[in-house]
Amino acid sequence: MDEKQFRDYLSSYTDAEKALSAPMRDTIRINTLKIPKKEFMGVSGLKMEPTFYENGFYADAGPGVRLGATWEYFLGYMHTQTLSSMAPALVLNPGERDIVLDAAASPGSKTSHMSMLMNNKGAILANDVNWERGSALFSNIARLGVLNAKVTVRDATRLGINAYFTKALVDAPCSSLSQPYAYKKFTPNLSYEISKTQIKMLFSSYDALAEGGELVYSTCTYEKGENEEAIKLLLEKRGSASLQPLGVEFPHEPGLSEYGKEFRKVARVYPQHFSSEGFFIAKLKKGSA
Amino acid sequence: MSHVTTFREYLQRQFGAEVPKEIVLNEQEGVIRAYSKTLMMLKPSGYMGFVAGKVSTRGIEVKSEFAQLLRNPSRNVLALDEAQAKAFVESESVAIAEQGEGLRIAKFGRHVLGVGILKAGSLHPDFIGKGRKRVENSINP
Repeated sequence: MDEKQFRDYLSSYTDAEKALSAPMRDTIRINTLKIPKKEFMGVSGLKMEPTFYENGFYADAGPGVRLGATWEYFLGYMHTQTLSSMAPALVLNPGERDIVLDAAASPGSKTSHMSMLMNNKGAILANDVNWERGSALFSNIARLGVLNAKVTVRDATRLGINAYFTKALVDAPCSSLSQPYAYKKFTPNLSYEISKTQIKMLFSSYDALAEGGELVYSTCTYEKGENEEAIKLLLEKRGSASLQPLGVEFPHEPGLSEYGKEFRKVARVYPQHFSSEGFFIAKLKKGSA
Repeated sequence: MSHVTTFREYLQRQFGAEVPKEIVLNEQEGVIRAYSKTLMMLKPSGYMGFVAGKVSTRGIEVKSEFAQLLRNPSRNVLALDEAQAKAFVESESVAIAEQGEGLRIAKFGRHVLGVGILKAGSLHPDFIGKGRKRVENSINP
């Protein structure tokens, strides 16, 4: 797609002018595994503004200073993470007793966020199909003091685990249309090929959930074939699956109306909502328990 | 004696430091890994937590990221000034006005930076992960 085609494409989903003109702001997540929030506020020299999430902040390290080149980052006191990408872990809301599958964990932003929400208790299977991406995962786990994650390298499209996890996060690899200039590489065929992998990951992860378990599916793209279509297929093929309210308040638009009222429960985040990348987030439950 | 016991005893002897009781140490593929007790319930095999260190015929290694989790290290702790701390973080050797050799925990104010090897008046850092790290701002010590 060229720029004009992308603008037209995006207009079929949201207010493209607002989405494309929204400023993208740097954000951090305070890592309370390493430092209490109050203490962080006492030692950090970062300029910070609050967001919808108590541990997520718009942050500025000063002229010419990258947030990844700060004391706070080095010491693991914070992680540079887009605000949108904090939402999936908040929606899944894992607790200290949960056994969690993170199907595509690298580079570990959401893994470490879930670990923080779990107070380093419970257990996370932090999986990725790719060892090269795994090095960033290992590095972030160590820097951020994550002790409740076990790293595996498996193909998440065929995990071969049945009815085991209490929660699962499928932050699926996608066509990344919310990333700058990703539209240049986008073709419907590329998206279709990616969606086949996403659907397999979603089904494999859903099957790995125990009865009563919850799953959050997220992408950083706008394409409905990678978002609502994947969820629709799961709902059709797995009778025990149901969409759930997100349970977290943050600005977003509902799922596309063409998929019906039930899809008002899913979230489409666009840059105009809180100056962060676009995201799709859906929460599902297995069975009624 | 297991490598884990050797490692624990070394931490106590060298740094006067206790491993927090909620942390399990175990040897996996030649390195000692640190993880939560609760992680033991997770069945599929994989790499537990992160690398705490290593015991081998060459000696004992303690990873910086693990040292940051130790409770109250009281021995062989070096207090660095800001310039020294910045150099240490950026993987440069730091001149230290102290005799002796062996592992040292480096601190800047209240912040535990990590572990370095003191040799001939120079402290050499040891961090997990490749590539140089940089700090370009200031933090309240």
